Amino acid sequence: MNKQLLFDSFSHLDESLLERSEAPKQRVAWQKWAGIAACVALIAALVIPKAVQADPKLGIHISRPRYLGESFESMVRRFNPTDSVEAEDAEKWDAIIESYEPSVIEAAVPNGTEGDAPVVGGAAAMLPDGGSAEISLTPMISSYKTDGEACYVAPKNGEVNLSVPLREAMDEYGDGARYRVVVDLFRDEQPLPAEGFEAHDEIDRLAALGYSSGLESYYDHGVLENAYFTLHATRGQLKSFAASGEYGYMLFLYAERVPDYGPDTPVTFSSGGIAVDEEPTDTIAVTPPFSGEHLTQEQAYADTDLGAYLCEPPAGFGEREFLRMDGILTANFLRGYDYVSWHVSRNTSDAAVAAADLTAELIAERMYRADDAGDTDGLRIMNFCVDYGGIFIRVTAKGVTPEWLYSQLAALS
Amino acid sequence: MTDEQIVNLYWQKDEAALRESERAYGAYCRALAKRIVSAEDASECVNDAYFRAWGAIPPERPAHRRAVLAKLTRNAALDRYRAYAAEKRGGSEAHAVLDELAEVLGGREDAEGAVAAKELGEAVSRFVRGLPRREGDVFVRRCFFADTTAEIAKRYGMTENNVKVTLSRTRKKLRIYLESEGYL
Repeated sequence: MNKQLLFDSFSHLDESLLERSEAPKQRVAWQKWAGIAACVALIAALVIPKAVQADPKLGIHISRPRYLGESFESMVRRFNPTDSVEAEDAEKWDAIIESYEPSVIEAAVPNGTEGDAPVVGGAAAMLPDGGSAEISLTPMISSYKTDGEACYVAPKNGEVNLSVPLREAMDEYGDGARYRVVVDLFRDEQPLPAEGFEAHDEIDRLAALGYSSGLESYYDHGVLENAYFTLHATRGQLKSFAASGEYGYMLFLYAERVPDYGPDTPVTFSSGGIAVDEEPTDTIAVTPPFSGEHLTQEQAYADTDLGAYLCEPPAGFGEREFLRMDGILTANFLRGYDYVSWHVSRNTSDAAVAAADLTAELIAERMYRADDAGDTDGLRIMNFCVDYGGIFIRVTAKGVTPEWLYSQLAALS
Repeated sequence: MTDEQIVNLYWQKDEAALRESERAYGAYCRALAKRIVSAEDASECVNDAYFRAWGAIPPERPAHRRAVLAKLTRNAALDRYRAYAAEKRGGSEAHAVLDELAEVLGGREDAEGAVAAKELGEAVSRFVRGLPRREGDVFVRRCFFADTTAEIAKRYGMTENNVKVTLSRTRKKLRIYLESEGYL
C-alpha cells in the first residue's frame, strides 16, 4: 500500500458518510439565542401580555413583536445570566452580542418604543420583471420595514412562524405580490443547516408541491461562506404553508436574513426551482413525465421475464410500488423511513456477486449501520448486486435484517 | 429543478441533465476539485463527472445524488492530479493530505499496492463509522474533501488546533485499525 492508494480509497467511502459530514453551521448562534429568547419571552409576558398571539385567520402561529423600547444590545445585557460577571467587560460584550447575529434576530429597524404599532418605514422592494414578454408584472416583495424590534422563539415541529415584516407585508400587498422568503428550518427546536441534507430534501419536497424553492449559496474563494433556504411564494402558499410535521419553520423576508453581498458577488442556487439570473416569475416547477410504466403487484409478479426474481413483500412494509422502466423491473416496499428497493434486469454496470457465492456472512459484511443519520437507525445496504446467470438483482434497503435478505436472495438460486 | 427531476433527465438521456447538474451542483463540485487540481482543471473535472454520471444513469438511480457527484468529481480530479503530479508537486491541499496519510503508513509504503482502492475504501468506511460522529466527520472533510483545517474548524465550531489534534489522533487510530485488519 502507498499513500496515494490510501488517498484514492477515500473515493469509495459510503455516500452516507459524505452527506453526514455536511455539518451544521450557525448552530451555536441559534442555540445561544434560544436561551436568550426564553428569558425575553418571560419578561415580555409580564410587560406585554399579548406579545405572543396566534392568528386563526392565517391558520398558523404568528410570533408577535416585543416592542421593548430598547436596543438588542441592551436586551442581551439585561437578560444574559452572566450579566453580573461580565457587564463591565466591553470587549467581551461586543463579542457576545456579535455572536447573536443581530441581523438575524433584529427583524426591524431600531428606535421603536413600547406599545407602538408597527410603522411602514419604507416601500417594499418592488422588483419588476423585465426583458421577456412571458414575464408577468407581479411584484416580488423581499424587504419591508417596520419600526421596533422583534425576536422569535424557535418553532416546534410542525409549526410555521412568520416574521413581523413578512406578516405586515402580506397584510399590505396581499395576493397582488409574491414574497421572497428565507426559511430557517428546525427540528426539535434546534436549527438545521441550510446546506444540510434535511433542508435539501425539504427544498425538493416544496418544489414538487409548486413552491419555487432553492438553496442560495455564497462562496468566498470557492469556499462556501453562507447558504440560505429560499422561497418565492404567493400569499396563499405562505398562509397554508405545506409544513412537514418533522420540522419547525421560521419564515423571514429575504432582506431580513441575507446581507447585501453586492452585485458582483457570485451567487449560486444549487437546488430547486430558482435560477441564478432569473427574475421572479409565476412559473411553477413541473415534474417531467414519468417515462416508465406503473404496474400492479399482480402484474409485477406475473411478469414472465423478470417477475419470478422479485422478493416476497417484507412484513410490515405496507406501502408498495411496482414499475418497469428501460428493461428494469422494480419493486419498492416502504415503511416510514425504511424501504426495500428491489431491481431486476438483464444487464448492470454494478459489480455483481455470483449467486453461487452468496452467503449470509457476505450480506452481513456488506450491510452497515448508520445511526443518528436523521432517520431510523440500523442496518442498511446499498446497491448490492447478485448475478443469477444473466439476470441481475440489485438491492438497496434499510430496515430489514441480513437474515431476511439472505433468505430472499438464496431462494432464487 | 429537484434532484429527482434531474435524475429523470439522465434516465431520459436528455442533455438538459448536464445543464441542470451544473446549475444544481456545479459550484459545490468545483470547490471540491479545486482542492486537488488547479481552478482551470477543476472545471474540466466537473464536466468529466457529469459525463461519468451520464454513463452510469441509467441503470443507476442514486439515492445520495450530491455525494455521488462529489465522488465522481474527486475521482476525475485524482486522475488529473496523478497525471500532472511530476510537474505540479506541492501547492494543492491534496498534497498536504497525502503527506499526512503517509504518517498512517509509518514508513511502510509499498509501491505495489496489493489491495484494491475499493476494498480499502470499504475498510476505511467501516473505520469511520466506528468513530465518534464528530471525529469521523472531521476526518472525512480532511481526507475526502481536502478541506483545510481552518475550514473544518469553522464548519464545526472548533479551534484549528483542536482540529489538528483530532486529525492526528484519528490517523493513529486508522493505522492501528489497518494493522488489525491485515492491510499493513
